[in-house]
Order: sequence, then C-alpha cells, then structure tokens
Amino acid sequence: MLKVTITTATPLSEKDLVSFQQALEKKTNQRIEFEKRIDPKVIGGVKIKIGSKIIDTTILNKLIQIKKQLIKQL
Amino acid sequence: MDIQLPQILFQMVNFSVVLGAVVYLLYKPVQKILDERAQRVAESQNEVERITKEKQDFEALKTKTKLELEKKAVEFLENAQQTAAQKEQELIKQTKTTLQANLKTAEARWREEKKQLMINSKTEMVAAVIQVSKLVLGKKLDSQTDRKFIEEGLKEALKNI
Repeated sequence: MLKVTITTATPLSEKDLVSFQQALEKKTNQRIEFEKRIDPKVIGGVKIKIGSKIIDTTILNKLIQIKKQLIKQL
Repeated sequence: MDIQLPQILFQMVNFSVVLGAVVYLLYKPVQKILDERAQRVAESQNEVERITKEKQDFEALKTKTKLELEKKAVEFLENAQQTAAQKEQELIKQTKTTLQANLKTAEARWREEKKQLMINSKTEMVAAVIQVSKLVLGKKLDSQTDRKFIEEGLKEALKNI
C-alpha cells in the first residue's frame, strides 16, 4: 500500500482522482491510499507527495521559484 | 791753633768704636729687616702675578667654554629644528597615508552598504510583487483554470514517478 498526499487549493474532482489513482496503481503496481488536503495558500495547481518524493506544481511554488530567481539575480 | 794729636786719635778711635757699634747693632738688623721685606714684597708680587695669570687663564677658559657652549647650543638647536622638521614631514606623510587608507575603507564600506541597501530594497520589492501576485492570482483564479492546473500537475506527477 502506497500512501499519497494530494494538496490543492480547491477540492479535487472525483473523476480526476479516480483517473489518477488508476494510472498511478498501474505504474507502481501497488495499491494507493490517498490523503486529500485543501490548502488555499497554494492558490492553484496540485502538490503530490509519494513516499519521500514531492511533485509540486502549485502556483504558490511557482511564485516561490520566481522569487528565488529574481533575488538570485540581484 | 794748637793741634793735639792724642786728642785726634782718641776722637778717631772713639768715632770708629761708635761707627762699629752702629754698624753692628743697627745697620745689620735694619738690612736684615729690609731684605726680609723685599723678599716678602717679591713673594707678594709673584703671588699677584700668579693670581693674575690664573685669573687670565680662567677668563680665557671661561670665554672658550662659553663660546663652545654657545656653538654647541646653536648646533643642538639646528639639529633639533631639522629633526622637528623631519618629524613633522613624516607625521604629515603618515597622517596622509592613514587618512587615505581610512577614506578608502570608508568608501568601500559605503559602497558595500549601498549595494546591500539596493539588494535589500530590491528583495523587498520582489517580495511585495510576489505578495501582490499571490493576492491577485488567489482572487482571479477561477475553478475551471485551477482544474486545468490540477490536471496538468497530475499528468506531470505521473511522468516523474
């Protein structure tokens, strides 16, 4: 059983979730257990934590990356 | 005129005795006293001459010493003036160098502070822009666009796993 945490600003649709679950189970050959989190601070997009790996495509993360780049170039 | 020879002889003997007595009793002591006095006078004269010479020597030595001292004082004063002038120049040079170094350090510090201030203000500006972006995006982002973002995120996650 693989535990996956999904964080979004607005609730994830059931269709998207099921579709993602199937694809993920197929790819990992493991059963997936989801933990859904709603956090308005992420603004938009999704943050997925699978084991120790984090895939963050939230707008908050993008803004943080832009901020880091801008500060780095000063 | 009746010349009496014995009387003459007696007078001559008498005169000789008196003369001998005078010579013996008066002339010699007086001569001795005079000789002693002359000797004392001569000694005094010598003493005076010696003292005068000593005085002259002392005066000459005094004058010579005074001149030497004056000469040394002038030399000392000149040396002191030269040393003071040299020290003054060295001090001016040293102060100039120190001031220049301090000025450079201050300038470098000022530039560094200016640079840091610029960085800080730019960082604050970036932070403000990001904050405003968050607010604007948070308000403007509709659920359809967000769903699109989520779908893309899920696809990306599947690719990267």
